[in-house]
Amino acid sequence: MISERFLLAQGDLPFATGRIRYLDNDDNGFDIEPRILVRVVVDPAFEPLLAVVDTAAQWCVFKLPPGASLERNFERVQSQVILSTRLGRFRGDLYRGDLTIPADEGEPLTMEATVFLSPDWPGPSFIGYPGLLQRIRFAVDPEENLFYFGPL
Amino acid sequence: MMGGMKAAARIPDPEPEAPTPETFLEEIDRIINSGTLRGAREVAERGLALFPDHAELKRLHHALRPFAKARVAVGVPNSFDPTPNYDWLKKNWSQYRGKWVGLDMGELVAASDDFGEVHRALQGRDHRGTLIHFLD
Repeated sequence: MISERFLLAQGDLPFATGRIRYLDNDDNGFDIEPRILVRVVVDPAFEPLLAVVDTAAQWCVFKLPPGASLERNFERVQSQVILSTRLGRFRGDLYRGDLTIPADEGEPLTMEATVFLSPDWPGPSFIGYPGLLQRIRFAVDPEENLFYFGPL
Repeated sequence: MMGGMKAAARIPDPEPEAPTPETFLEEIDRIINSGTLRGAREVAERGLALFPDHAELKRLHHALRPFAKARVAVGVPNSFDPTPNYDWLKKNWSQYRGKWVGLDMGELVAASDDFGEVHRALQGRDHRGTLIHFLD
């Protein structure tokens, strides 16, 4: 069980049920400023994705590794959706399905996410606020690079 | 004088176009392309009130259902902290340039020009603690 020193009581529920160390940047050359890159399990058959926490992003936007697919575990909501970003406009499909944030300490958390997928997306993966983050509790400790999370 | 004035001629409102399933599908498409799902399910619901057997409206009404609550994934193994492997790469990359390296929890297991050799060296280890990386 997670150690109590970082659980802040919130009624009957702890604020966080798990935590994970995040990275400030990745090796893909996308990052100039430090960001919060959290591992998320989209397809259990593949390594976790490293996704930027972006509260301004509408959806989660994933860049999947070769061979990985959302078709197995996700449900298509809409095809031919346009996503406008600072990298341009991209056409792709919108899905919904479960993904999991693994825990370094405590318990992993599984939640439903709305995910935009485009074969042309040139950027990193993102987890967005309406697409995922608004359905969990989360907090960040920049001193220790720790991302705390828990169910609502 | 009573009844001597004729009522002013009224221009009738144009007949509102009868909605079709496509009317609702286009509205849902417009909502989603504006960057939200808010209101889209209600549009599907209104469409289904008129066209209860329309397959795409039914599919969208289901696909746009409210989200389930997040849940603690009991029984799912925890991840390993990747930091020791990344720290090793930062510290040792110059010695192994041009090679594949296989690491396990911050310790070097194999280094080779051959990816397959490194991959084989890591077999049997818990994959959550391992990392294969090419140092260029």
